[in-house]
Amino acid sequence: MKQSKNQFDIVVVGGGHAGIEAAHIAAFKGSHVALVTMDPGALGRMSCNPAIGGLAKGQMVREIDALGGLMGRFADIAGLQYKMLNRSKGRSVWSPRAQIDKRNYEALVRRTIISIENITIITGEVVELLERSSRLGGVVLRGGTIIICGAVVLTCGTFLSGIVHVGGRKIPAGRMGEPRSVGITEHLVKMGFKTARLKTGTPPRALCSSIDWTKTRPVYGDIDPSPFSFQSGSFNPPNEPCYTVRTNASVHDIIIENIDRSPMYSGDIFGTGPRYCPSIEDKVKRFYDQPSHLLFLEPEWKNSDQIYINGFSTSLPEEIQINSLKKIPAFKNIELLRPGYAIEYDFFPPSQLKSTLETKDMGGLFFAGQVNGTSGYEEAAAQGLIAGINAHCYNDDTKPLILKRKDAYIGVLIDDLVTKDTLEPYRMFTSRAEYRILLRYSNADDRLFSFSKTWGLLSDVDISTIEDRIKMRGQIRDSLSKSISLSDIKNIHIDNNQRGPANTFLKRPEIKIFDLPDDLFSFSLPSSIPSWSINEVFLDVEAEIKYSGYIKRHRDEIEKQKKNESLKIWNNFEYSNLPGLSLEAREKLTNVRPETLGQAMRVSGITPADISVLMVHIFR
Amino acid sequence: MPNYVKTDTYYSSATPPGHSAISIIRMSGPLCLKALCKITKKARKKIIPRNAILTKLYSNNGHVIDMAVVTYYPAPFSYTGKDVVEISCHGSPVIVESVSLSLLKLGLRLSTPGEFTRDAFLNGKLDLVQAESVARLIQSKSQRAAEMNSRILQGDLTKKLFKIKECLVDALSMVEFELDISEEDLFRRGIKKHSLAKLKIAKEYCGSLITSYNEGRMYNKGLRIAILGRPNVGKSTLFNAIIERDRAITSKEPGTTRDTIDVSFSIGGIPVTLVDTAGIRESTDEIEKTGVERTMSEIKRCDLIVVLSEADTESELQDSFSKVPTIKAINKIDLLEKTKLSKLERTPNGQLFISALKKTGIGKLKDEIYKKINFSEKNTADVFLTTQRQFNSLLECGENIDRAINLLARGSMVFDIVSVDIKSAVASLDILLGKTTADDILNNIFENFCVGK
Repeated sequence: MKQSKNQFDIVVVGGGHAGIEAAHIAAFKGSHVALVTMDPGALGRMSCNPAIGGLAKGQMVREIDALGGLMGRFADIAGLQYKMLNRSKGRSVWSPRAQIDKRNYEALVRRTIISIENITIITGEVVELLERSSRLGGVVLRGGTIIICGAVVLTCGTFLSGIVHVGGRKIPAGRMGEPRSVGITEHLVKMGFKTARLKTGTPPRALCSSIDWTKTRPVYGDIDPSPFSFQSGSFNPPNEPCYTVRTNASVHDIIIENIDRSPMYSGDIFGTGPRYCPSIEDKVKRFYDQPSHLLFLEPEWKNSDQIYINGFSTSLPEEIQINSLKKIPAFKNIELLRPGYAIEYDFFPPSQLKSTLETKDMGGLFFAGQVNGTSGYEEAAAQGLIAGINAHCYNDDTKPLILKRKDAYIGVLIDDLVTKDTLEPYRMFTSRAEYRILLRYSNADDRLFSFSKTWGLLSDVDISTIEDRIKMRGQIRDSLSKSISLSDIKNIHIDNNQRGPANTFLKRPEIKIFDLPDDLFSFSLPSSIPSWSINEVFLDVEAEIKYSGYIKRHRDEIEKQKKNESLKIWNNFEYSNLPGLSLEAREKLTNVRPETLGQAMRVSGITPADISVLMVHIFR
Repeated sequence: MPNYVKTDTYYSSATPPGHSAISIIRMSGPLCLKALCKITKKARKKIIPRNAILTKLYSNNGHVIDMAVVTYYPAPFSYTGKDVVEISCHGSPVIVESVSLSLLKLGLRLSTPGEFTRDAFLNGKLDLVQAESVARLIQSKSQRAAEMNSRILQGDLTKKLFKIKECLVDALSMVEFELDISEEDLFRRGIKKHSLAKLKIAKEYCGSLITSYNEGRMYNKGLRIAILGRPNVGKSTLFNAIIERDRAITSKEPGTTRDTIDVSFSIGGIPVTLVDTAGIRESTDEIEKTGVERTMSEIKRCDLIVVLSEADTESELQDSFSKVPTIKAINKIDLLEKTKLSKLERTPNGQLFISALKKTGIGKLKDEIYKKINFSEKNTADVFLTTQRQFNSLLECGENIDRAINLLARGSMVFDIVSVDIKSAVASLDILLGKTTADDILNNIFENFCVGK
């Protein structure tokens, strides 16, 4: 409880996507939160693309929303265009995406955070942490101000000792045009934390009037879009077009010729695996047989004169950027307001964290967001949310929230971070989730409801919205167990009078749920459920049935792994004393310090032999 | 709690029990060197690694047991990956017993079946497929079988499995690319075509390995063939004709062979156990009756039956063993007139015409045997599956590949489940190679070894 001006339960360092989720959810749960930021005007700022969601990321935004987070709600209000990606592919990879009006979004964030009573925004820069017998005591700001607190969530993003690279130029900054933060890294290193440097790229911003729009292709969003938030009522957003162009051989030639002038071009560091590296240099080099790449022209906000060239992340020298872009017909006379640049910054290898995002060695200290080596607003927001919840639980001495790989993409994200060594900025892909079929965007509410309730993440109104949806899901499932005749199915001309449960017929690829007789679904629905939600749940139940064989396979696999996931390994286990463990295993396990046997099995380089040794010694 | 790597030291006799010139006792584990020093009364620095050292062996109370040659292999360059010591002593069971007792008193224990090879696997010296082949190599009953198992031990099967895996992973990356990347940026043509091509190659490799199992199993397990027929029809003579050795007793009196005699030989490299049987006829003779009973139960255990009869006599024995592949042969054609023989040969009714005594038609009989057991001497497979475990895993792999191929044809709408099937196919291979080993699999495999391997 807040006792004096400079005493809080939690201090959140940084006001980006991770920071605001952490602050908001902790405050919602009752903590008094100090949000320390160097620039209160920059809360929730989008550093590059004005877009939220996308492949795998859209699923995460849905999960954030199901767990009481803000991102989805803001995106539903501030969007210019909404599109479901991967529609022509299986439902388990459908991902919602929205083009965002940045100004609106940031204004929404500011208004919301300011209005929360439990959050106090403090302008300042955290340079030190206070220890109190290997637990946190508080933070120290530049200038000497001390803030006492029980827990700290560090979400410094790319600001720690940030350096902006454009071609050969190096500019100290946290983001282009914003000062960086120096000091806390050194302090954390002194406390024993490991740190390293990462680089990510951003795309250039062009002047709207310098683009020949007649030579671009408009792309509209969906006519009947789905919102991100389960709480959104009927959804009738704008549908502003977004425009695309394609690169060509001449563009690629210029890039390749000058590739060694790009500080972000990674060369062959990452080996031959099909890794997706974000810069245009990497794309052109790696996919050299690809004649052109798609670029999206995204306005910063509606009618803005600043256009992001999405798909062209780069740190090539400014004149190379311009010269290569000019080879695209629409860009013949292009003028850049801001060149693409790479930002180099301190990050902290997340193997130092537990799966609660708390550091293993300092109680009460949590890391979330880009500072853990991830890239993307959605990845950051997801971590911030979990860190905020767990910082509150830490102070409260209640059980923290740990999502597993089978529960959510957020679970996959955190498990990957704490178990594997991050060498390049981590971005979520659906293929990272081995149980992808279970983790659909349209069932996030169902999957995560028990967590939201147990950890108190939703308001009563929000809870009843989800409950209505889950009830509807159950009613649909029940209806499908009723018996129907094949000849009753619409659009399928079968004279066959064969009868059977509707869900058995639905397993056939040619039969769709909306082909089933209408009187099958004879239950009534509360008028508060919007039509997009009804549609979505019907289609999700259909997917459940069509995927049922595969869903069962996954569930069986999960059951098999349960035992391994529950066998705990204590934090300070001494691997070097274990005879029979390979040297590599010893090194990796000492570095990662897995919390369960299941996690140990996922550490790279660990063989079945090593696992056998562990089992004998730890669990004898 | 399953058996995992134990960290104590174990020993066993590596040679079969009985009298022989040399017996080898092998030990593995951290206490090896210490035990060796104690049993030889030599200082550590005198034991030069990988050198054969002639030395006396002493019992715990100081008596000399034997003069032996000992070799010390320090970890990790040994069979098991731990310290290994081999003692070659004189092949007397008494001596072996004494050495064992001494080792026991020094704190070592007797190994469990297959423990040496199991540790070799667990320490990464052999992959699981190779480990399995060790037992089979030792048990090889024919030259061909030995060759085949040796190739597996050298990693040939493993290489083939990796080839399949490579194709699967290629197809998988293309599918995943389509799901995770192409929508937002890159558009690649022909993903369906290319991944289908890779899957079809994988299916081919998989299929050829699956069909090789039948042969592979035959080489290891061998075949049991029984010869049946009335008394005095010439079974034993035929027996001797095929094996070219007088193992059975032949006489002109019907009912001579009172017992079944097993003789092992090979046809085309396959180890075959040929079972000679008592002549089946009604008899009041007690001994003969028992012989006949034994014959009937013998039939049930066989892979192939040769029913021998003479021209003009009925063979009533057919019906009782319709489940087992059967060859019918008419013997003693040397006693038939030429015209009679020609008439018979015109309507063979699936029968062969031979003379065991004159050794006529024996070649054709052998060919017919090959046909019945689906065997071809000119087999093209160079690598074989040899265990049920391998067969099951590859079958599962093949089923998953088939599902993926069928689904792919339906287009990108189902790419996410195509991915699940391909991943399951890869998982089946990984289990085979021991990359992700279920506990019980390990136990299953190594329990079938003999102690000392």
